Amino acid sequence: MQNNMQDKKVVEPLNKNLAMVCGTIILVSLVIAGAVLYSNSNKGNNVVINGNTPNNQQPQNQQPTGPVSVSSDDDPVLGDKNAPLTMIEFSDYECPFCKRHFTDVYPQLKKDYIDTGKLKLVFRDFIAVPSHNPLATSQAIAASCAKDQGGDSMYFRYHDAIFTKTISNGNGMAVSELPAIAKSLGLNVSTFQGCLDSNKYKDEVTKDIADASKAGVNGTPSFFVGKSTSNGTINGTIIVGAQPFAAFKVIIDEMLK
Amino acid sequence: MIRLLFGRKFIIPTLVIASLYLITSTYLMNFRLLKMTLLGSFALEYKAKLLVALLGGMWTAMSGFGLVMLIIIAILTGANLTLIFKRVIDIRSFGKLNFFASFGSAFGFIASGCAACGLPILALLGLSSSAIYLPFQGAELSIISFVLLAISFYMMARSELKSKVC
Repeated sequence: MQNNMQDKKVVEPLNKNLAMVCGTIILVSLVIAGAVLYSNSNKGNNVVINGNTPNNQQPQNQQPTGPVSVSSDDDPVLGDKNAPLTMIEFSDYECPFCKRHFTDVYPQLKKDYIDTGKLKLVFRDFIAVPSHNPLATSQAIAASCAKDQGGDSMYFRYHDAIFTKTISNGNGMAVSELPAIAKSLGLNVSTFQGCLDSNKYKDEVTKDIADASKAGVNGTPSFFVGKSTSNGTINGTIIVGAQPFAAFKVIIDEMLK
Repeated sequence: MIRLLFGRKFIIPTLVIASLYLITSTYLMNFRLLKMTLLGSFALEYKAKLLVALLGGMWTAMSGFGLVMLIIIAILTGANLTLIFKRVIDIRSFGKLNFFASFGSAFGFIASGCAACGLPILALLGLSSSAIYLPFQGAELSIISFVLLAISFYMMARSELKSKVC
């Protein structure tokens, strides 16, 4: 009788454990299934994700382990075009970590390396988070429209204005503020608006995203640093995330040796 | 219970494991860079400087919520593993490992770090983009991980206490 009671006491916790384990497995399965269903439901939208549109499948992200060949393409360049090193930044104007990089690291990078002619920065777009669109794409297009009127330097003035203004995460500013920024920078607003409304640079943004995906970029900000070449393609070391300035300094100083 | 949780034999291994977990999570974000650097023919000084510099990414490359959850998950992982190791040592044949501990720690690795930057372990597998489709872009994985680890720790601690009673 006493043995039966002890057995019952052992079995009850075992049954409880089993129920909790099963519940856990079910919960995990639901989360994963939910993520898959949610991602499938996005395929009907016009959101560009990693270069994939419904009718234009791009290669899947690769995960290279060594230096990666990345092109500057025709994207805007900040700094001396003959600088020995090139940094290609893949960024999203609505990404809070890209903004953090802009606020905390970019000024120091510009002062120590870009303005001194040691490094040139190439800015390319990569919009990784669907909820950042359509604003993030509009911002990317708007910055390119600014470049139309004032070259690379105007691009980066516009780029600075967006990052200063936005509070990130997909609704950091109103789309209507984009022409206002153009006006404040002395651009022809009607020409700018025409460029923005026509989505003139949408394909350019899509190409940037596709190139980023091919290079193995998974999120933003991502940076490739490498020795400059004549054709603008570098064998870059990838740095992922809003890393502190010290990390960039170590890598750049080593490459400058 | 207090002697169990605040004894040196519990706290020290917990903190050591938690620290390793935190450091590994931070480094996983730049796994490719680190692999190339550590296996490359660079000076030892450069490798050391890079390792130290990338640790700063724990503060800059994660959101406040992400970092807090990572620290909590790291501590809970340490606590769980410490109790598991103690149990393994105390009881020679240990038939059943705690599923919550392994699930919770795995989820913690997956969910730690900057959701937008690429979740570490998923980035390693080339799957970090998938977490972006979750409603909170992977942050909910941190919550699940915390819950699993907390349940596991509670069960392990209770079991540890009961095993001392005749």
